Amino acid sequence: MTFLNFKSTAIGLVGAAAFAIGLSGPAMAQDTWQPTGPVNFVLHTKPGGGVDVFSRTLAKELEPIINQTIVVVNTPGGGGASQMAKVRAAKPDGLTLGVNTVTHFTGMLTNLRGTFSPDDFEWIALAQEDPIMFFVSKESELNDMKDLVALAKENGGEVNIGGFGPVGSMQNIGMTMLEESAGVKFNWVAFESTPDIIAAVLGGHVDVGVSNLGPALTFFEADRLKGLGVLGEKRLKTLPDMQTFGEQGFEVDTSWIQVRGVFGPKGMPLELQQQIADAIHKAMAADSYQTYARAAGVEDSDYGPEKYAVFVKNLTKVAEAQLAAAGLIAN
Amino acid sequence: MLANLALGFSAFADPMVWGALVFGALVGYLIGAIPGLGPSLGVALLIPFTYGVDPVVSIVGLVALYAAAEYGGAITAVLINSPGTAAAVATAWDGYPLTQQGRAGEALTVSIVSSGVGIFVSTGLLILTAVPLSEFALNFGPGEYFGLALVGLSLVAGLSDGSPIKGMVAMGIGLAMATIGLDVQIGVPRFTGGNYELFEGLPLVPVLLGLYALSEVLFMIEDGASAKIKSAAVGGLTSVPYFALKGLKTVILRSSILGYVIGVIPGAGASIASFVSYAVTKRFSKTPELFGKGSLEGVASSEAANNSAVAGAMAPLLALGIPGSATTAVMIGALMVQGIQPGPLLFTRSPEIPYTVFASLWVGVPVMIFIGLAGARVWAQVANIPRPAIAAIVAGICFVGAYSSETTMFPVHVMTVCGILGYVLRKLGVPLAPIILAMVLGEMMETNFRRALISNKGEWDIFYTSPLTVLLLVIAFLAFALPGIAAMRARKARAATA
Amino acid sequence: MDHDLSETRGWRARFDVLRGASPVIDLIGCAVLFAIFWVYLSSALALPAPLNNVDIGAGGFPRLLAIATLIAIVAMAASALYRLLDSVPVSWVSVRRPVNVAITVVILIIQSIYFEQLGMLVSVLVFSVATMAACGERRILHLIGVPLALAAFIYTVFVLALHVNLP
Repeated sequence: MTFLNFKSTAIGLVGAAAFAIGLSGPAMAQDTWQPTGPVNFVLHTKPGGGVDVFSRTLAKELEPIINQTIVVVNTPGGGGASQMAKVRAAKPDGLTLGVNTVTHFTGMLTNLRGTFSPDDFEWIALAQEDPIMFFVSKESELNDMKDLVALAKENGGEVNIGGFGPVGSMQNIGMTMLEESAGVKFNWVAFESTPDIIAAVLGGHVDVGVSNLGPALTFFEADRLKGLGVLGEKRLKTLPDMQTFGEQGFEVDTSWIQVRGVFGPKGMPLELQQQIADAIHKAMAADSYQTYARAAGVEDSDYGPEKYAVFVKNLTKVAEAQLAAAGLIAN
Repeated sequence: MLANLALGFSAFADPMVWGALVFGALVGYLIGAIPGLGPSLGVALLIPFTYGVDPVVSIVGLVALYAAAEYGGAITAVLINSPGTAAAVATAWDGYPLTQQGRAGEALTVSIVSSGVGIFVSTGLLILTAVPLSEFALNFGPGEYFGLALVGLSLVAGLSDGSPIKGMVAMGIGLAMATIGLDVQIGVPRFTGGNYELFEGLPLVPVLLGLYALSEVLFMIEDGASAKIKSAAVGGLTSVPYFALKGLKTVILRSSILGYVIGVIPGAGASIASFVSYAVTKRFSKTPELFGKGSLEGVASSEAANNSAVAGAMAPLLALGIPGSATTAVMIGALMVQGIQPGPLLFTRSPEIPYTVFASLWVGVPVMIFIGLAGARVWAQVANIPRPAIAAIVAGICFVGAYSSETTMFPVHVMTVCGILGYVLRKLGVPLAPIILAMVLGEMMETNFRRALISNKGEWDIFYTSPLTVLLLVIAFLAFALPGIAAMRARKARAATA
Repeated sequence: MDHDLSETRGWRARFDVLRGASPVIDLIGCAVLFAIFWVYLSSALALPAPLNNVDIGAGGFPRLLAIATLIAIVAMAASALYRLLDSVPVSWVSVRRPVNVAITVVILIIQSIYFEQLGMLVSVLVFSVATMAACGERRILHLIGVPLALAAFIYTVFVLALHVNLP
């Protein structure tokens, strides 16, 4: 791990130039990822969404590093099941990789339970961390989480919170964590896309919206939305005025964040996984990727296979406890 | 605004921008014409090509592709009764009968001219009203969306010719198909039979391909090798007499405005726009009896509306960063790759983007019409290809198109089942259009109905306290009831004369 | 819906034509649809109850829909019965060249099963020849030329130009 950390720091400092030199040096060739053919990035979403943009931007920077083309394969369907089936069936040679989000873990605990499990895969690298936040329209009387909780107490739970996905989804679990911590109940209104949530908040059709920073960012800059709080360890760099849940007195598990990571079929040698993770983190240092990531409001992560596997285990445990508490799965 | 518009047009001083426009229009035209590849998949497939290209150049290419693909869907709808997108279903209603009468060239010419005029008019509206209308569209809450879905369904219920009971059954089938998949509010699987491939619901494109295109293949098999339609020679613009187009002026203008307004409402989009404007045009037509049997008005209304909806869908995207359609949602991704985040600040921060979009929509119109008219000559000959060859080509493209929509076999299976189902239903005289529209609107209707109740403490007053909702519900009721009343009157009149 | 036999020209018109009285066909269709929606209704009733009293639940809308559609199906059956008993001569639903249609249906099903295993090029070539033959094409040049042209077109557009991943 020391090696990895050293490397990512170096990349952070030297930037894009680092890997150009690295590639030219024959000594480096031993421990860099050298796939024998085109690499498939299998996605669980349709083209054009957040995961797709991430994968394509990453692929573009990764291609010159590994000297192979990367094919982005969109395999929507089954809430990630079509994609996971494709990845699970592939040879563990590093030529077929999948991109995952937290949805994969909640899915494997609920509707896809018994069909797929985290043990069916190798969790290779974490690339992005994307905390969720609660926000309201500029005209709203609410100013922070305390106001929100006070309102919910007053109304007996009649506060509408609009977020992505049904009960049991990543964002919904974030809300139930807050419910437990504050001892109140909210009313979950499910939406199918983040722009719809923002539109509903702006139009006054729900009281509070939940989303990641990226899609909402320009609305903050345009002064149309105000943030109530962010579910994370630290405040967001881009919106430093918004306090975390913890700062406002609501303790929740701050590891509950949206992620984008890379996984592969079971049985891939750890050495290869480490090489893939290194290559990915190297590609993420490139200028165009950095421009994209800052605009999308996500934080970079340098977790390799060992750290990511632990992270996944922990995340699954948290999700399981929450889903069981919500009565969605039997414990 | 004029200065900004000039800025938009000044982008066209760059030959690269022209290249992108023509390239986008050509690719879009082709993608739209291939069943299974619609505008949203087309834009998504083009995203990788925009890497390393200037944002203005790539947005011009993508907008041209979007507009042309929305038109391209009409070609197969007219020629082989296989609408490539849900928005072209209404075009097939009159376009295909025209082809069977040997008037394919005429139908194609009318469709391209109405599409072009539709874009031209709606872009004008877009420039003037993008921001205020998008702000107004924010008033659409769950109650209003529910009302809007009902309006769409009632209009079409009044449209389907033949037995109205069979129309209702068809609508039931379509709504039932829309309920398959994970429940939007609580996430339980519904009617999936434990098959996880159905979790995200039946995909629309393969269903459309199956019901229309693949079932048409079976009808072609019935016709056999000897059946032939002699398509009349196409003479470009001249094949449609000038006075015929002049007679369509009102229809095209009205449909363009309707299409634009419906397109602005996020989630409504081109298919609802074309159905609604078809229904409205039929209501106002002097020759409603021709509708469904080869009315040029029908083709013009559907095509003008679905292309105007393109400009409409651009409004909330540019003004607020909220996509009005599946294709504009993909476009957000394309812009983000370029480092541009669409949102309420787009007009102030990078005005070159929205104003280039305006300019390219306008500049694109003549380019698109030119390609379309040139193409119409070629396409009209498709009707002359021997039946067996057409059947094989349509079937082959259906399979490849369905596969590429998700790069799995699941949509291929869905398409095959729907193809056989479509054939049987057509033999039974059950109309297909209500199935498609109900599928498009079913989820919108149920989701928003429940969202309305959930966000309103389970109280039903949300459906009658908002004036906009009440207005929509009244329109829905009238659209449903009026044709029935008219039919009863007609029957009485007939009985009186007999 | 009633296609006159004289519409089909050429020797293949001598093949049998499947024909049934339209109301009878309608009744059979109604029975099948009724069964389907009955199953739909029963699985809608089995869906879990709403999590709280403000929601109508996952099954609420489908239940309503199933009942409405069942009523419409019964009405369709009633109208078919009425037409059957009416003195006005019934119209016919006919399937021309039923053997060819049945063969094509089988071809389509086989294609949908083996499309991925065979790969795009092979299945397009094989099945378009089969479809054309089933449609009655007998000219060898067409049977070879059209599939080749189609496969070449699909390959150029989908694989070369659009980079779609086809099997």
